[in-house]
Amino acid sequence: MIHLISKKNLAFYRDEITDLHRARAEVFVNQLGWDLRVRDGLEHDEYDDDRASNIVGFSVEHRVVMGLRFRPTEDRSMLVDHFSYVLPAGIRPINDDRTWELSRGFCIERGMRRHNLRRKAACMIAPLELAHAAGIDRCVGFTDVRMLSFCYGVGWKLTLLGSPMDYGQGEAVAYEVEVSQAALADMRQMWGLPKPSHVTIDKLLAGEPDVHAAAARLTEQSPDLQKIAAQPEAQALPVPAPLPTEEATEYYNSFGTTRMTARGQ
Amino acid sequence: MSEYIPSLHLRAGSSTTAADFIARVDASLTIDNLTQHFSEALGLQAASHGCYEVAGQDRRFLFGEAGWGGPIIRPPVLPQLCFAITGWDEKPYEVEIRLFSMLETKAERASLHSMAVLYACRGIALLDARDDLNPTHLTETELFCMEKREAGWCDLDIAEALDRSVHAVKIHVQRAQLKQLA
Repeated sequence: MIHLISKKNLAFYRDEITDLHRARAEVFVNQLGWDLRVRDGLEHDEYDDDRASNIVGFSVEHRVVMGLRFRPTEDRSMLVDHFSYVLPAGIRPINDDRTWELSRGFCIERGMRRHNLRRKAACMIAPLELAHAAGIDRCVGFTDVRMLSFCYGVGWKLTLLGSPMDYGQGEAVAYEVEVSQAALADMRQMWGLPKPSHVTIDKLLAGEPDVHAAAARLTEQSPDLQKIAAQPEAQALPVPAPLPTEEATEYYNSFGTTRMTARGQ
Repeated sequence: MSEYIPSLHLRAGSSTTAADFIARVDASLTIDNLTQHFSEALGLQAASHGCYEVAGQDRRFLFGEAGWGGPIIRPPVLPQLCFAITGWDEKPYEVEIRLFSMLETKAERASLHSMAVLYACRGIALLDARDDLNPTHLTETELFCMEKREAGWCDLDIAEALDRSVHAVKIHVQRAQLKQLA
């Protein structure tokens, strides 16, 4: 299932948050080679504070398989604090009160079945849904150019802010994603997503051992949520073994938002 | 063709060559239109460009423009950039650009890379939807997409029924809506 984790329900997610930071260390440091702070195998930064929330996707084994962090920008942001030199002059200020920043987005769920595609889309759309509900009209971020195909493919309405640049481990660009009713409707139309495309667990009922049991309860109440529930990957269609590549390339190659069947060309 | 301006020189405004190209990608409804836009974005710096489907050691030309520099793969002496791109269909592609002169900065390369990614993505979708070109009337596929959307189907379901990509469905709908407006 795709969960919203914020300061309001963090207490229910102690183990899961640890798993999230472990997954971030694996993806961003071990696979992509980013120079980030890792302690005890967990990657944290200064933006993992009370104002940050995360959309997190879990596997059937309740392991973290995808994540995307979002945070208001008025006080600080990665773009302004670390990448302001890539931003062109005269653009709308990043640190206004109608902007959230997306960061630390990753996905290690393999598979190209329809539920895989929907789950990836849900993870990308959920922050925009929440932003829209909060009166936010855009999200911004800084992404590796290789991720543009995924951002574009999932249906984000992207505007590039300034020029792409070399950042040492690849090429990256600052972007803005439209947050509007129309943009959300387009993405839901693409993927057939439930509304909202995530669950928020703010309490556990008697007998519920954890958030995953609570999510299962919500799914029983709203069967549409089954569309974004994890399914056993053992049922996945065989995927051709990738050619040997560097780990970063391998990671980026794992993304995709396509149909399940062959192209037939 | 417009004159090529290194993207760094455009930093003063909110618009760059890459940003302009990417902003217009979704408006390209034919391969010819897309390749023309890409040529314009590359400007005088590029002799030719092509998108290839990669299978092992082989690759197959999908779309591109020979430009005035000759056929796509000639002249071989021109410097070239080749970007390996994973499409949204999880297949490997390459966008090759033959330049008249080498790039001066890493930022220029990054700019071309970002454009190449979107060029490949949109082009693959347009290829998937190219068999239904009719400038005036709605094609059977376009009618099917519109009817199913009206019936509440999502594009993923329509794509599955057509054995096409979600993005091809979006293109069919775009074309249909334009024809309906005309």
